[in-house]
Amino acid sequence: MTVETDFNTWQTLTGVLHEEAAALDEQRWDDWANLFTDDCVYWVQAWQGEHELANDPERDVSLIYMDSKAMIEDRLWRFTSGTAPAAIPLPRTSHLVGTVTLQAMSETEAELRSYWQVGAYRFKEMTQTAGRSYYTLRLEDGQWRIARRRSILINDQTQTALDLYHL
Amino acid sequence: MNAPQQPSSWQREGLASLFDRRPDEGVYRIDRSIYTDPVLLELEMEHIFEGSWIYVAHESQIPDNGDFMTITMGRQPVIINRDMQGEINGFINACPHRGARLCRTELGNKKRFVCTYHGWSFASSGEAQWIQREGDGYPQPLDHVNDVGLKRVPRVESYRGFIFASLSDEVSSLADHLLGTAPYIDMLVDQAPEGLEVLKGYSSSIYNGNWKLMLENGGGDGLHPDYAHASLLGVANRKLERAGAVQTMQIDKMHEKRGGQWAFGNGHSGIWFNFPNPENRPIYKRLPELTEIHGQTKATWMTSVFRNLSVYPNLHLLDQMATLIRTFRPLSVDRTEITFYCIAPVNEPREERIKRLRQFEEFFAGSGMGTPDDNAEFEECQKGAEGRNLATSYLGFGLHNRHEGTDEVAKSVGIDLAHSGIIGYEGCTMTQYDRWLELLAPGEV
Repeated sequence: MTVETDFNTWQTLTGVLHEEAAALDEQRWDDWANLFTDDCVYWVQAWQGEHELANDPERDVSLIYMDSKAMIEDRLWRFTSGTAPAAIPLPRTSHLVGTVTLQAMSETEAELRSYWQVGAYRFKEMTQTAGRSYYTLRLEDGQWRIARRRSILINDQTQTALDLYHL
Repeated sequence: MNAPQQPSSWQREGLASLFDRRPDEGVYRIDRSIYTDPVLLELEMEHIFEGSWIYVAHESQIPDNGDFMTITMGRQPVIINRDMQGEINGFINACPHRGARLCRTELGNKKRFVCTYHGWSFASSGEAQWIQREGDGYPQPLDHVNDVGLKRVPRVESYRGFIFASLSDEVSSLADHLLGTAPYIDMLVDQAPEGLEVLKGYSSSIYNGNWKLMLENGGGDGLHPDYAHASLLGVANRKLERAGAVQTMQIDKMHEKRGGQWAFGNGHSGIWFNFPNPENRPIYKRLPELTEIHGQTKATWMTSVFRNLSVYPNLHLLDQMATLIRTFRPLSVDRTEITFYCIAPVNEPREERIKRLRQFEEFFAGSGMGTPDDNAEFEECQKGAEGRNLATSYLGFGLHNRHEGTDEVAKSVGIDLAHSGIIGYEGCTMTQYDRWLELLAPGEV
């Protein structure tokens, strides 16, 4: 289901998703983290067979489940600390975000769905990840921030590593 | 076209020549061609993955009649199923007619297997049920078990829910294979009065390196965490400052804690040490009731001791920073697939389950903060092994003061050992390659 909104609002909302991708690709980590609310949920679901997802993060396994900005900052700190072999060196990445739809909208919350494809280049080899994300954006102090990002990763068998910049 | 290859030195001098094994002198060197030689992988496929017991699945993954999962044993596609009579079977996942795979999904439920190529169908217990034009197409009646039935994996047996199988019938009993790892497995299973289950949702990862790098790491490399996992230890420290965070189990400076590394025989090995923060484990709340049932020593081991178990050649049963099954298989000499399954007591209370999930995801999922760093190091070891002018790995840590036979600690929990040593004891690696030689070159040992 999609809902309508005015052009400026649409630009502002999709701008958050576009800035999220750009901040990751340009390694502006603090800018990226600041797009999230303090109580944000960042969830990447695990699969159970070809077409079934593990849907309950309190009973089932997730690939990534973080329920605060502090946990996101832990991961950021780790892969930029220079002590994580999987991130020495970090890959170059390129996010392609598309087919964004507005699913629901209120004064202070907006739900969007986006599709993404990410190329990551490390040791002269390219790996691809693809999927879709369901976002809840919340208006806080005049800024739209990410309060929830639930992601479904299509190729869930990871090659060497899967971290926030692959998503 | 490739130039004809020179025979490797081991082809002239025997497989044992790949190892310089002088434990009493603290010397153990491994020729790194064991990670790069594709001829050795073929031998490993034949004698280890298709010639001896390997771990295949947990019973809770196929709870209902008709449930199946598809796996690969060595190079061979295999179905593990629970048939309509409730028996657990292994079958080669290929139609006896022209060999097309019968089951093509990772898991599912089928009362019978039907080949989509020519329609042949088979009972869940393997015998053929329907063959196209059976009445007029063949000169003689077909034997539905031996001629056109599914080919059975000759040995499929469980130990307390963990299913092992062998594609060769010429193997010992499962008990003789598991040896002292059985009571170690008991310490995990006995935590769950209603049984253990594999949780929904799993994680799988590939690294570009030889399979034995994973085996060596999980089976006895107590020396790597302070370095390879320094970043995760840093995260653990950050979380100590935050109220309400699910805490990380502390594994830094393992060697300063009461602990050791064990070789069980048959290539199996383990690491144990006392956790400084056992209260952060989901099972810790059960300590009083487990003490009542199993006594204080065992209950403490179950709730408060870091325990890595490596069952040769492809199972790591970890009850430590999280509780999981890690199983792995070679895809090629320099490519390995790992699968991670979180295991938990059936009907675990919500708070404990959440803690268990977060601890599993934090380190062990392919998308966690531990596994990728191990994978990265395995890939670097694989690249380093190409540095042929430096042909061997310099192992030998803790061999000089090893303990032969069962030690006092193992005895206290009823476990028989072949030998043991301090945290980091590289006799655990040695025991893996002793087994490797027994299986690949029985005449040389």
